[in-house]
Amino acid sequence: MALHIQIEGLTKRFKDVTALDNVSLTIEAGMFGLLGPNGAGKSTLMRILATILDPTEGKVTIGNYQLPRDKEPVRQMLGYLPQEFGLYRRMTGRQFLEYVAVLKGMVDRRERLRRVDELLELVNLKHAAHRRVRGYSGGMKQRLGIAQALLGDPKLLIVDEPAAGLDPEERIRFRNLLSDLGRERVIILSTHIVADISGTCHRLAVLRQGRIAFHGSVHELTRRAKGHVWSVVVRESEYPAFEKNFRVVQTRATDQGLELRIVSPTNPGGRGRPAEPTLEDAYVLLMGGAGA
Amino acid sequence: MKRLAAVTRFETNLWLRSAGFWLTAIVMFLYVFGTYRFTPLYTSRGLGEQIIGSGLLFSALLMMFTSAAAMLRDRAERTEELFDAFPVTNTQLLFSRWLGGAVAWLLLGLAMFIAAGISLIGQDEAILELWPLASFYLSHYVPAVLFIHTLGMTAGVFMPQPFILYPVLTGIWAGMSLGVVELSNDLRWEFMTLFHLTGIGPTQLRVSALAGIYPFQGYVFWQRVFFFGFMLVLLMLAVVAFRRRREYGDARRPQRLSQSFSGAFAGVLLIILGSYGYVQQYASPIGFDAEAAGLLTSGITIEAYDLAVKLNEPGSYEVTADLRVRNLGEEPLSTLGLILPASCQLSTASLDAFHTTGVDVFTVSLRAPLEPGDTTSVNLVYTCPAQRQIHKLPVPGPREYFIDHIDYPRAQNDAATLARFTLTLEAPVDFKLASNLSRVTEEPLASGRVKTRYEGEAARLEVFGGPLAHEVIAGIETYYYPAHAAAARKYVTELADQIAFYESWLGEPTHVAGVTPLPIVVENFFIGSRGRFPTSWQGFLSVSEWIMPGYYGEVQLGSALAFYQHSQALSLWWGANPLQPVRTPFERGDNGKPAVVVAANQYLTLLYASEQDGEIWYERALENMRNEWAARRNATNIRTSWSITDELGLHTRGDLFTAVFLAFHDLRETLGDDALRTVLRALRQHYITNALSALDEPLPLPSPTVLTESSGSVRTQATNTPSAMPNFYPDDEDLLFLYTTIAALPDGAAIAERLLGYLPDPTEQRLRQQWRLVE
Repeated sequence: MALHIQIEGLTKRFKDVTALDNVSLTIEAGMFGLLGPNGAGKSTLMRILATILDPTEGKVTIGNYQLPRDKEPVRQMLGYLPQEFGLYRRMTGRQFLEYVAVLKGMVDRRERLRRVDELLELVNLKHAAHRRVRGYSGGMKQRLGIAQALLGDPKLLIVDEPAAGLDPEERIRFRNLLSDLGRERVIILSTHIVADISGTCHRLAVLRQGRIAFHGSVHELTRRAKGHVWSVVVRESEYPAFEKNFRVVQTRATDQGLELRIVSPTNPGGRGRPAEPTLEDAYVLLMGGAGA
Repeated sequence: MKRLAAVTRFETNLWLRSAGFWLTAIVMFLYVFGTYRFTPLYTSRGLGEQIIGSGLLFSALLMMFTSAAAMLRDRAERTEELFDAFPVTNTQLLFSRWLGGAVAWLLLGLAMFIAAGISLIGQDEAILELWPLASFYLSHYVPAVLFIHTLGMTAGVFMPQPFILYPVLTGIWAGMSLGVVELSNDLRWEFMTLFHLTGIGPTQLRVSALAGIYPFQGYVFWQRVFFFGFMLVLLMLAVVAFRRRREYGDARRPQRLSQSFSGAFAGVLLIILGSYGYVQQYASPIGFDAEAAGLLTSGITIEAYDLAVKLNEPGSYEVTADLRVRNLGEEPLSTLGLILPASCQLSTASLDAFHTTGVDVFTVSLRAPLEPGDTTSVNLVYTCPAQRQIHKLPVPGPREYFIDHIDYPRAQNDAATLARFTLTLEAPVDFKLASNLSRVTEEPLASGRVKTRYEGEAARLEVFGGPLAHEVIAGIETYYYPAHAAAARKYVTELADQIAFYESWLGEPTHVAGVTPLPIVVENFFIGSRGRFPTSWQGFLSVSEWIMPGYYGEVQLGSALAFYQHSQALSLWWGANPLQPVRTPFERGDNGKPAVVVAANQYLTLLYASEQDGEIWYERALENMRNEWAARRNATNIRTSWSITDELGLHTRGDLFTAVFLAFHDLRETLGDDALRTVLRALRQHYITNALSALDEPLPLPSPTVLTESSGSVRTQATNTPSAMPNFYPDDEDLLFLYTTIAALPDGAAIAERLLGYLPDPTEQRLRQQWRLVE
């Protein structure tokens, strides 16, 4: 049976600060995106799901288990990549993965080594497997972090800003990897980079100031922006005025002048041509950045 | 368990890659192998003791630092958030880390023991015994290191701030090593050694069971129980507290609190049990205390002993004693309280005698009252333990044991009187015996044993014996451990050379019973730290193996060790040991160390060193002495404190030593060697005469001799009223003798004046004033 996550009335307070306020979500198998600006409460929600934090109020059900009560079984099916993390620098990449595998309960050595090798291959670190982690670049460390999260074949994979530090090629490779993995498990991807979600997730939630601003499918959110996205060609001298009065999400130089992509409920200056909305446009619209 | 084992393997890997581990290893190896040479006389026990006592003690601090740092690793490497989401319990995580460290430290110790064993094998005559080494490793190194490791780890859990953690650990280390030793030594809080970090504080080292036999008796065993409990409590505390303090979240790792608290509770019980057992060791030891003193009968003396001693196997002796006791008091006595160690068991044959439990006194009920001035005979049969375990020797065979004395009943003040002894010792034929009594007969028995009879007068009976080799080397009877033959022969040959040299200065030696030892050398393994200096009071020369050639490698002339060795020649026949002069039963002066005689012998020793190794020693010593004199001439009193740590092994610290040295130098330069020879012989005779007079007259006060000076001639006059001269220093008498002896030489008056001149001005003035008082 596919894993199902139910979050009801989740609130997390740190002294006087409310990081999450009455959040309710349903997450089904597949890739699930968590969007929101910095400080929206994404990492707090991820940490609660990753059993690092206990909620102040509310109920989290993961499969048959409830948090914070059933942390141990949840951790058994969890793969977690925090936004910021360290690795044992004195170990080699392979040793570190082996070590984590053991901590995750993979006691069969042969099986462990096989899986470690697979993952090293998967994250393109096979060539550096015997090098000490202290010699890894930032991107290599990030890939090793991804690999450790995938150890143990987790049913629930929580990745917080996983593409940070990856070069474009690796980024694409990683997105594809997540898409593949998402067919058979729940993957929660937290990011503030909309493109990472648009290319991989079917459903998402947008957090704003600790509350759910949107919860639904990517398509649904994108559709909300229909009729609010415009393409306008302006002279360079006009650009400051447009930028001041409208939410310009993209600027492109053309032979005719500057082509602006604007999110606005109205046709900007009456000169706009309706454009097909993207997730990014919808996100901007949702977060209230649509301007006048 | 499988997972724990697998995690532990990775943890060990991490430990072995840590800088702290290698730093500790380097320090430990450097300390053990850089400081000590494992020479042929080292045993495997000595080696094990060295590693634990020295190598481990100083490395323990680094070990604690490294173990503590392991608990800060996640913070330092920023892996906390990652690890917090792993499906592993707190206990598993901490315990695997603890195990990983434990394996690393234990491997380090194993390497150390193996390396030490190999270095021992490299010595020609060394005896390598695997069992003592293994026993030391398992029963001393392992528990000590596990505790140190746990202490460091727990500190790391509770004090994540390095600037607090490391100073605190340093304080703990200092307190649990140097601190407890100081407290137990200086304040006599001996139970404080319970807290000694490596478990071999000074008290434990005295326990023969430490010599590689497990399980241990007494102190060591209870200390292990105590520390095991302590370790358990610390571990449980660490488990409970390990993940409480989190930076990234408040969702704690699953705890098994009931298990942790059960473990801690068991630990507390063990702590209580260990402490109780340890303290009991102090409460029950056998000793001569105030209670024992109250049980003793005063005003009696034992005039004669007839002791029939039968050595039994394994390791005890039975004594049938017949004592002649005289009542010196004014009241009749119906019971007698006499001294006998409580470790000796009175047999049922001694119906009228009983030991008070735990006290070194036994009481005899007399059948008829002993009237004042009368004597009575007391008959006893008792059994005492012999020594089985001597950690300076290889593990003894099943029939091997030693005796360093025979316990016999003594009256309260008998240390100050001579008694007549008849001693019959029945021992196996290969059991060699030395005594301060004269051997009269030796009778082989049908059982393969030998009965030897000794007779003589002595203030105390001294007997030493064991499965030793006996050999006459250069005219000196020598008893030594068979494996030490080469060292013993070399040592005694050198001793004979020294004696020949000293004979040319001091004349023919004369054995004076109770003052000079017999020309017998015994390799004595029972000499502890207090017996580091050669002693002669036993009636034979007891030599610890550590001053024999081969223990520290070659001895350099002029070194402190050489000085110890040279001093033996003086103490052997001339009764003037420079370091610990002849111990008569009635010690005189500065704890029996007449500084003038010591200074004279020091000068003689220097002459010997110079003869053997060139004048360089003499020149350097002379320069030292002159510098000392220049620096100290304004001191107020004669200072006789000295140290053996000088570069030349000479006691340059002390005004009196300086003055005597410089006066002797002047004497030799001005009047020649014969003049010095005359003075040295006179001084030796004077010293022995004093010692002999002390023997004749129990507990004498110093007998100051007072000088009058008239028309440049010197005469002396004795007085027996020391109270008239309260400021008369013990060494003043010897100084006066030296002064008058030098002054009596032709052209010697000027040198004698220089002797006084070399003393600090206030001292010189005081002496001149005192010596003129009777004028």
